[in-house]
Amino acid sequence: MKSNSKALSAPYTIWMTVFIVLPMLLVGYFALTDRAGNFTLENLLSVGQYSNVFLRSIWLGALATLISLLLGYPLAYIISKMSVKRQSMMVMLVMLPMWMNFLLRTYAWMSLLEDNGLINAALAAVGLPRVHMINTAGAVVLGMVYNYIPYMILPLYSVLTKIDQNVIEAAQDLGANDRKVFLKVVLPMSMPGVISGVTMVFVPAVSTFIISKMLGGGGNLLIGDLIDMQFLGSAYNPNLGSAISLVLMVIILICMGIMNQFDDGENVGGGVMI
Amino acid sequence: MSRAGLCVNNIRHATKFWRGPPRRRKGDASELENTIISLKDIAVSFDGEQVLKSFNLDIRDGEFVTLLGPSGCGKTTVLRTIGGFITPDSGEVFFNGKKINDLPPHKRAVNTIFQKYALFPHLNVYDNIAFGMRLKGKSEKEVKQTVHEMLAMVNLTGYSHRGIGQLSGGQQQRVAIARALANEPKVLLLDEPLGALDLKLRKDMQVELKKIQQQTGITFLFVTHDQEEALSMSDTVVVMDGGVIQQIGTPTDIYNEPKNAFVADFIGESNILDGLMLEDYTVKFAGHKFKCLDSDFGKNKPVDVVIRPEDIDVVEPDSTHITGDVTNVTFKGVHYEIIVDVAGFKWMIQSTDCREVGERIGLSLGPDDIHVMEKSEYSGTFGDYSTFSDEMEEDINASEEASEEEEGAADEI
Repeated sequence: MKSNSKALSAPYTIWMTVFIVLPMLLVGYFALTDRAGNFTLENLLSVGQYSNVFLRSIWLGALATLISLLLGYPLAYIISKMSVKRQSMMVMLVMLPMWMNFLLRTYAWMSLLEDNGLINAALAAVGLPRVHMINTAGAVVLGMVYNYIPYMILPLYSVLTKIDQNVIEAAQDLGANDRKVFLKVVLPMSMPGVISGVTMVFVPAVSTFIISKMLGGGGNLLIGDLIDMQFLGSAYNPNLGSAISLVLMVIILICMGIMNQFDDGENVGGGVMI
Repeated sequence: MSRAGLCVNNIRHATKFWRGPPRRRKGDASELENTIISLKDIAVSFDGEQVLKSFNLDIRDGEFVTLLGPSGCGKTTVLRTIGGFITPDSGEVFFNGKKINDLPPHKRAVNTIFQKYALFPHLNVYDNIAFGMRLKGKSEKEVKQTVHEMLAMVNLTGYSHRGIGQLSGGQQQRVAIARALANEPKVLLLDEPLGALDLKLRKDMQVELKKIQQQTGITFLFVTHDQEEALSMSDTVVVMDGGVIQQIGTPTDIYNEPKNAFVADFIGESNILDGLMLEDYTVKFAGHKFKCLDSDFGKNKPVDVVIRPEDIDVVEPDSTHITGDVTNVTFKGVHYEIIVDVAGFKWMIQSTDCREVGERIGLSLGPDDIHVMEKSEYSGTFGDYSTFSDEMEEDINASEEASEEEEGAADEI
């Protein structure tokens, strides 16, 4: 039986080795060598000059995550209180945009936000001054929130629906008004969902490049763009690109480690889904 | 874990701290008159289905009242109405003479012990018990003292820092009791709190709950579908069916003087026969006239006659009016359960004497073994024991539990 299950897992093990472990090792190899293949720390040391890009990425990613959380939590809470039928309809509506191509959706925002885009045209039509929106940090954050908020809502929703109505009634019974029920029972019990939601929004937001490229113009370079440039762009330098990737990975790991400190491990009902 | 009975001293100790009403003594008339909860003409319906109909109930301070009935009879609805989780369609709920219909649950001086305990999974035992007190703004010092007293009372000293997931069902139950009592409620509502425990633990908890009730003097309103539990714990039993009270009385009244065929059948085993009240103290059934202790039914009135299986004496066939053939004998430990076919009607007899299947025996009844009831809508619903078998009994129990689950699931939506 045991050898049997081992055999069954073999394809996945091979897949993981070839497409996850090996590339990671390659990233490490490139990061620690120069173009001639000699060992060097030059790449890693030169990552420091891009610290402003790192800070901007983390700042914009964190901002987008916070906004997603503040918008997503109430929505997930409201959905979890609906009748079962309406719940599944609402969840579908949340996921619906994800069925559309990511690039297409971001292009759509471009045409909305442009100086001569739909929003400005509408503003001009009613006699209001035009607002410059495209190629700003705000547009990048908007793009991140728009694209990644479903990943915040879904884990929150899944945790919130699992909270036993009896437990909420028990809190009311013991003297908690609606505000206290939320603060003392619902919020702490939904922390696993908050943590997985934050993880699932923050990680892709920090490393995105297409959103900043399309909505942020040239002035809002993010780490993703930087890496993109090292591999496909004018500044072709895969060794530096690998080094930046490696540093980014470490930063994200540290962020996740800090996040998980909030989860004391005693909570029931894991927040991870999908 | 040590068992229920061992903690009597702990309870006494904890009572010193108690500021609730004093322990009720039997015969203390002034206290008995003191109605704490009063339900007047309550009607509740869910999705057009009437669950409670013109329901009236007065509960006196310090009483142990049990709502007893099959699942779906509305007993949990009564509890939730008092707890504030259901607003009745019509009727009034009074607490200490004040109408509390519109008072939300968190403002009511009652606490509930839920069917599945509903402990807070993100808090440990200590924080669960402290929950209500902290909401009331008690100092941490006070909270600590009370939590430790409560833990001692439910025999869980030393468990304060355990997580809820690390506790057994019985321990979770005790934490739920401690959590509710720490709030010093005037009335404790218990929604089938022992339903999930195994038989032995259940019996221990019955004794323990009764002791806690007596020591603290808190009014207990207990919901159960287990008639034995109701009889052994309560001061007053309220038998319900179909959203209507069938009978209110002391356990002995309910058992010895059931008002109708439903109560007689639901509480204990009963042989229920069609009878004719010929005149006061004389009733005719099973083809013979019997002396009885019942009167005031009028002359020649059709009635239901209840004879408890343990009241029937097994005698030689030629020394009595009623004779029959034994069709089934089941050993029950203390007694044998004997099914006897008397001219087509199957009687159940509980006797310490063993009889063989096929044997012809006589049944002897004294006047005080016979209880006469008026005919009701339930007459004829509960026949004889012709279809009786242990297996069937189990099936019925199983389906009852299943429907209970559904009920619970429906509540959660």
